[in-house]
Amino acid sequence: MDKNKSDELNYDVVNKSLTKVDGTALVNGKPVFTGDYDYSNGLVASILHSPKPRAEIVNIDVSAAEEVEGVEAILHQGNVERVPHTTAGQGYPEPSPYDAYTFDSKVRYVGDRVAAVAGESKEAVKEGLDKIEVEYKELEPIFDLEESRDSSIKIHDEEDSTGIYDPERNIAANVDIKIGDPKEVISQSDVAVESSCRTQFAQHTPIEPHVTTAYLDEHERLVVKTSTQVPFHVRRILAQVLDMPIGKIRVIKPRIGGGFGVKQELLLEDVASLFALRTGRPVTMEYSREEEFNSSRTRHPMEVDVTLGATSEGKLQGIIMEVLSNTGAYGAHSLTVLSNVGSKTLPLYNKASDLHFFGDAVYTNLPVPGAYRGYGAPQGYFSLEVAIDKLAEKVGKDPIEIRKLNHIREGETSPIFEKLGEGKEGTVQHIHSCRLDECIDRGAEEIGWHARDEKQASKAHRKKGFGLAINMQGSGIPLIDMAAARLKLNEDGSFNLYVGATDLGTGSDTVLSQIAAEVLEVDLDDIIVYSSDTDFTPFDSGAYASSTTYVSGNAVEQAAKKAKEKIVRAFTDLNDEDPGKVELSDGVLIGEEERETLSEFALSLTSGELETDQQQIEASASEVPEESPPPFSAHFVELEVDTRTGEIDLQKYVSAVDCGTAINPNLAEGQMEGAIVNGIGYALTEEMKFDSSGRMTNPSFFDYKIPNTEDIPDIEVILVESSEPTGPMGAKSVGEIGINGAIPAIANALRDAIGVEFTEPPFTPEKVWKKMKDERE
Amino acid sequence: MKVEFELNGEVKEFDVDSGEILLDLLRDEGCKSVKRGCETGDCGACMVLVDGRAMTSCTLFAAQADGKEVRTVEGLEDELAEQLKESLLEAGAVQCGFCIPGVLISAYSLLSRNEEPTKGEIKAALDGNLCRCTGYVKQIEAIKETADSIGGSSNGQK
Amino acid sequence: MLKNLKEYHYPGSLDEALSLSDRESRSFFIAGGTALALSDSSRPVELIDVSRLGLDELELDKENGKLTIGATTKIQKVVENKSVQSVLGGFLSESLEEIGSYPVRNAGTLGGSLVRPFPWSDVVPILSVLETEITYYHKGDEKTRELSKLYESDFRGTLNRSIIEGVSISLPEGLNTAAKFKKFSRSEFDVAALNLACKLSVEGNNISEARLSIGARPMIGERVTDLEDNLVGEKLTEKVAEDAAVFAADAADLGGDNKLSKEYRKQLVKKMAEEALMDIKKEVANES
Repeated sequence: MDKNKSDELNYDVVNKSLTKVDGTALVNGKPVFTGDYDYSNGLVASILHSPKPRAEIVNIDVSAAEEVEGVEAILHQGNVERVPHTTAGQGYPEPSPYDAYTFDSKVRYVGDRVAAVAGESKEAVKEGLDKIEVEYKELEPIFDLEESRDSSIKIHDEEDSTGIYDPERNIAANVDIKIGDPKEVISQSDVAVESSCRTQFAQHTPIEPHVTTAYLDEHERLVVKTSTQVPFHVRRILAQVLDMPIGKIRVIKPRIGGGFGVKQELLLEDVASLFALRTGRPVTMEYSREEEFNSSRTRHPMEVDVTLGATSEGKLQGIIMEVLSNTGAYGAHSLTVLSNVGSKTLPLYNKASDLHFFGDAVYTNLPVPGAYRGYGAPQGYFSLEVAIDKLAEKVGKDPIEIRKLNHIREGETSPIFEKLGEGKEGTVQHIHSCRLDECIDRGAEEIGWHARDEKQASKAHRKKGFGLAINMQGSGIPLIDMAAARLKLNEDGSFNLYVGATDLGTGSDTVLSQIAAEVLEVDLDDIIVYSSDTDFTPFDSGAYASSTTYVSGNAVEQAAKKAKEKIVRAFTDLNDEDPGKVELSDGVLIGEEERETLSEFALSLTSGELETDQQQIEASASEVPEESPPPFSAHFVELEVDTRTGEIDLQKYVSAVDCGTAINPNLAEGQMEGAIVNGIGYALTEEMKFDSSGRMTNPSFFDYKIPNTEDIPDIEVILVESSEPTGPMGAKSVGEIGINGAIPAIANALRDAIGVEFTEPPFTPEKVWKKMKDERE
Repeated sequence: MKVEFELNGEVKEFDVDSGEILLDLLRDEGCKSVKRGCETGDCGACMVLVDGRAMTSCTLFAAQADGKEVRTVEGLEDELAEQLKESLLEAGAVQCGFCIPGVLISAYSLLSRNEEPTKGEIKAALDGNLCRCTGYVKQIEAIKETADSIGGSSNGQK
Repeated sequence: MLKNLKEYHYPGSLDEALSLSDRESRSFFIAGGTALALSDSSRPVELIDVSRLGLDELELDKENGKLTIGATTKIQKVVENKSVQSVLGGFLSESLEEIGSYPVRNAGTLGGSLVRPFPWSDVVPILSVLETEITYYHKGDEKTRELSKLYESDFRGTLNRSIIEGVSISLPEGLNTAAKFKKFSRSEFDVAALNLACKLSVEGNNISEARLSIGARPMIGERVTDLEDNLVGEKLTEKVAEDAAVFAADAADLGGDNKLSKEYRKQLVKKMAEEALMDIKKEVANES
């Protein structure tokens, strides 16, 4: 099964597909998720969501609700402190505007918070919510992205919000980076092509919806057990909105049922905490699937226009990328997602010397986009990779050739790295590892790219198409985010590994344990990992931006090296060995005089026989990355289109990825496979639809179709391992990159099959049919 | 009302509301492997075996279980179940694990009625289990692997 | 969540079930429960479970060419039944397998999907192209109606306060009959956005009997009788199939909804009808 394990790397624990350290509990269905814990005397709570897209709350009457038997507390703007903040779980100071309030006197989208009720039972809470009487003064909403900037309607007209780029024009964030004079360069170039793509509202849909329990411990400290990707940011934002010291709050992330970015956000924790503080009882809040759709977060819909200028040979000279991003009712992640549309895409084609990247993230009265796997890169790559294919056609080159001619290589850099960071300037960075050419070649071979013209469609009325897209991502956010790890030696030679890093199902607890075990030369079983508890684990920014393996992994590697040094030093000191002559190898300490197993030595360290020399060996390390080395991938699809009906038969999907060393090849493949299928859904079926009053019309799995087992094509993932010198054991990231390929590769394959350009996913059969028909007419 | 059914091998009587949903009853009884993912019968995270057949417990009233035999992953410990769990782990088919109890129920039910399923039959049997993490690739592989290893051992006996 | 539900009954006989129903106007019959459990209606006060009335028998009477399926038979049980698999080259089992997902078919009953069928029902067009009679119990009387006719009439009114006992399908004699079911949906696990069932009998070289029903139009399945009449006597050629498909697309009463436009449904009918006819042609040719 380990087909992707590299033979060249000589590791004992790393680069092996070991089973997940939390796997046995998960596969046995043990109660390990936030909602699985029972609390005596616990309450449940739910939110009253706005039925209006934009309105002023003139009055809230909760008297009837308070009378409902079993209702214990009600929260609303009249009894909760108004603290401007952002719900985005980002490093402090956050680059998102402070435009959100726990409860506000205005609602800005259908699904916005109005009030919340806590009670003894779901039924009591539901009845309480039904009995809250809200008087709204309806205000004219704005749904159209294009119109928003020029509208007289001001979505955020409150005086206390901060960090909004231009509230007068509904612009939450703006980016404008120019290198050289691309307009001039493109006008002078032999060939120019354009593409203009527009993406839809789409949802993450983790199978576990948001769920949180807040309670006071025996010392009256607030404990929040929550399904989050960012426990430390949640703690900090809670301290801010509750006006409590950080030290009075403990946030614990148990196992979580998927995140994909939607849990990089404070959505329930503030309300549950307020209820717990007011009632003194444990309060559990759990979103229904409908709430998850209406009132969590989505991917930013965008319009991305790309103009390329190139020589007649196809060598890129200039790129202009203009973005209009819909940030919905609030600006969480508005600036950084917008920045990433350019910063994660443009460096890939660093042969273009002159660049202009600019755009706005604009408010509308629609649900709130946030962080979503890929974080702007999928939207950017869609338009960019469609344009690259058009360029290939125009200069008469194979899509592979045009990409090889222009993509970034080892030792090279891009000015974008320095100019465009996460909400501020970036950092200079050179590429130390890149096996993208090999990704392209191996992917091409697997899909049969070079023999594609000979392949016929399998049935009458069908046309066959092949498509390609390449991309990169990053590994963490350099000089902003950080991770720390701590190791403690136990008396039997095992180690407790404490990490703030957040395993959201990705397997990061396992990967980090593998790194520690490799350095310490012990078995994976000897590492007992404990993660994501703000009381017991060191700080970590959280699971986002493809950071955990690289950033947290580096912290673990350093902490493990330190622990190893301390063990060796202690052994040296206690046995009067010559410094530098002792080594710890395969669980045995070997000096010139003495030889002892680590477990014997560990036991002796706390033994009374040592008297005053007894000691606890512990080591910790912090990691702040200076770079964000990109993983690279190539995506190929083979499909057939029914020319009568536009139905797409997606037959094969091949993706080759350079993620550095795959610490756990099985888990790395799993990241790719999951991201690819998520991307296929985004390309073919997934779309949040709204009626004329801004209400989502398909908020269920019955109507919002994510792929199931029978919707997927044959999927082949190829790991093309490189060794990243700045990464732990040569590793880079792999969590997000897999989602960037599906839309452009499928769009390019459709164009190959039927000669029609598709710019607005999801590419449903009816849309494909209609476009073919329009094209013919 | 009172209902009586066999839960994971033990016959029990439950006092339920007429409109109580089986999913809620099972979770209250401590069967936390039964997950709440959608409550519309679409995601399969709450799947259980009722008289040996895989069903979503969010679309059943507790009263409907009366007189029946209900099994959750808590009660799934025979050789086939253990082999499936091992294969799922080995294949890397478990990521967040939230959908896994439901997947296990579907896979167990498939291999109980069909020892040598094709890849297409595995896909069909899992069509009611949504997973957002794995892309299903390794889940399908793991079930095939289990079928092969079990088929291999029974062939050996023949 | 049915918040006003007070009673859940397991009657022991059809008469007891009906009298319970007469006693409380806000009572509902339940079989598989898949639809009711999802409801958050405040209307139901009592549920009357008909799953213990012995209505789950499935029998193939080869001598008389009749397949009878009790109303509370789970759809997946029908799919898996060996006798059913032998009927019409597997048409019935293969087409019923297109319904929902595996767990949905395990819980859902045939009667449940007939008593209050959704407009996208697959069962209605599938059974409409067969000679299916539906038997139901109403006010102490057992009544039988031709299924396809029932759903073209006020079936809700007819079946109100009735208990469906089952269906009886007359199997075509001889081998020269074949049927096909086609379904279009947004993804594999989705209800139909359009479905189509077709059955043809061929005698000698010509079509002797034809049935074609289209569902999820977006309305419930309905036979295209003009087409059926036209097809009788024709030789089943590619050209005839193509013309029939065009005719079906024009003759069917199609509409648009949030899933598909009317125009696109028309296009789909053309393709699906043609494919169904051509598949049937192939099968009939193989058999004769």
